[in-house]
Amino acid sequence: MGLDAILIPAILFFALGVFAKAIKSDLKFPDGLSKGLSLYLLIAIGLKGGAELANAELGLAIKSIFWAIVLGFLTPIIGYMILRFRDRIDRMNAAAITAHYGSVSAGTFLTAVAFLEASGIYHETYPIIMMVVMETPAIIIGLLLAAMARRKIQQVEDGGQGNDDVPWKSLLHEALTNGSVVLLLGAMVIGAVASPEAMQKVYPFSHEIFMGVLCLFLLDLGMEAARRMKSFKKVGVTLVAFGIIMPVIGGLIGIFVGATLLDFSVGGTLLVAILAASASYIAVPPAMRMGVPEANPSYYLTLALGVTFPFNVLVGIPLFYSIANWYIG
Amino acid sequence: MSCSQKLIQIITSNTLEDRIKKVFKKIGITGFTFFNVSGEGDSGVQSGHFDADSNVLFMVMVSEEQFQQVSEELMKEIKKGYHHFIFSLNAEVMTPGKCT
Repeated sequence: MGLDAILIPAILFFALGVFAKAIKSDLKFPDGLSKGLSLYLLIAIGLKGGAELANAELGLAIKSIFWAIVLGFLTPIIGYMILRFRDRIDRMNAAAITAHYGSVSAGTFLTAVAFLEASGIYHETYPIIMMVVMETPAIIIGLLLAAMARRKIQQVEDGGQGNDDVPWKSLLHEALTNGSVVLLLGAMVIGAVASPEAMQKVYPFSHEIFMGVLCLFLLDLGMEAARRMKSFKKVGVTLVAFGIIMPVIGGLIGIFVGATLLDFSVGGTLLVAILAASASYIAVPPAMRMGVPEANPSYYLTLALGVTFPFNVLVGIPLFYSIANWYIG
Repeated sequence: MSCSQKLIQIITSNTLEDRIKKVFKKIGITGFTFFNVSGEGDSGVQSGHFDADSNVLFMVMVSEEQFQQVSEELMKEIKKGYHHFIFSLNAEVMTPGKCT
């Protein structure tokens, strides 16, 4: 697979966004447009996925959900151990950062879908439901790691038992009722229960304009990613390196889960790899700002948006596709 | 008829908006103004693109007594690690009926 594999409009528009910021262009999206675009993309992918999942095997769907939960819990723990190795990053920042890596980036996932569809490669739709499921476990594990770290820090400081003032109830409520989760899940249910004839009526909305809207969304994210890249110096080499190493580790675990444990095709395996490799920049950051206030938001936002997202879009997708192709044979 | 009061301004993440409102409620402050703002600082770029990088600015006019209470409560928040940027100004309230 050569360079032409990533020469699809969506990825090229992302690169254009980065380029526009690099040359200090005054290109700017109107306020609120990117939020509107992401709402559309979640509805469209939910409708598409729901319509196809209506004919899916229940057993495989449950198995996919199970492995999605495992991935959501496992990746942050691996990430935390890497960041804490030789005390490189303090406990609170390590907990908040790794929670982002257990959750998913819908933007990266949709780019991977665009990559597969542009190349005419088949993919299963189960990874869409995995994306919904993976939003929450990482938030829980991030909060647990932070609570343990807080206790440890306070024990060292004053010999006390530590006082966890984590608003668990509101955080869990937010994690489970997060706007993107509700919209994606709701659109999937609508796609699954609506009649095929009725779904045909919304076909132009859910399918035909999808790639065009994705281009706009990625153009905007390209500019946003470039803006974050300016913070590399502040974040430091260790964290920037983590932002590249962690998606590779997650992607390889995802390939194993997709190909070996779920028996997916190369396309489906790539999507699982991308779920495990990507870092959330929508659902997890607010939860960490509220639940792990001691952590520095510029670290996790720079990593998720400025390092891991561009890495996955430009390198991760073709890399994991090639590895999945080789692994499955 | 004007009166002297304190204008407290708080810049914080919009994720933490409810925490500030809870502090006001606890002290009995019923009127305040807040709006979305963008900027850059210790917490990185706050461009308003996503919920986590959107800031709000609260403006609230309080009496000297309430000022002490608000300060104490907000300092407790900051000690817990919440990134609130707080500053105050001496102000003259001009609107009749707004002096507590």
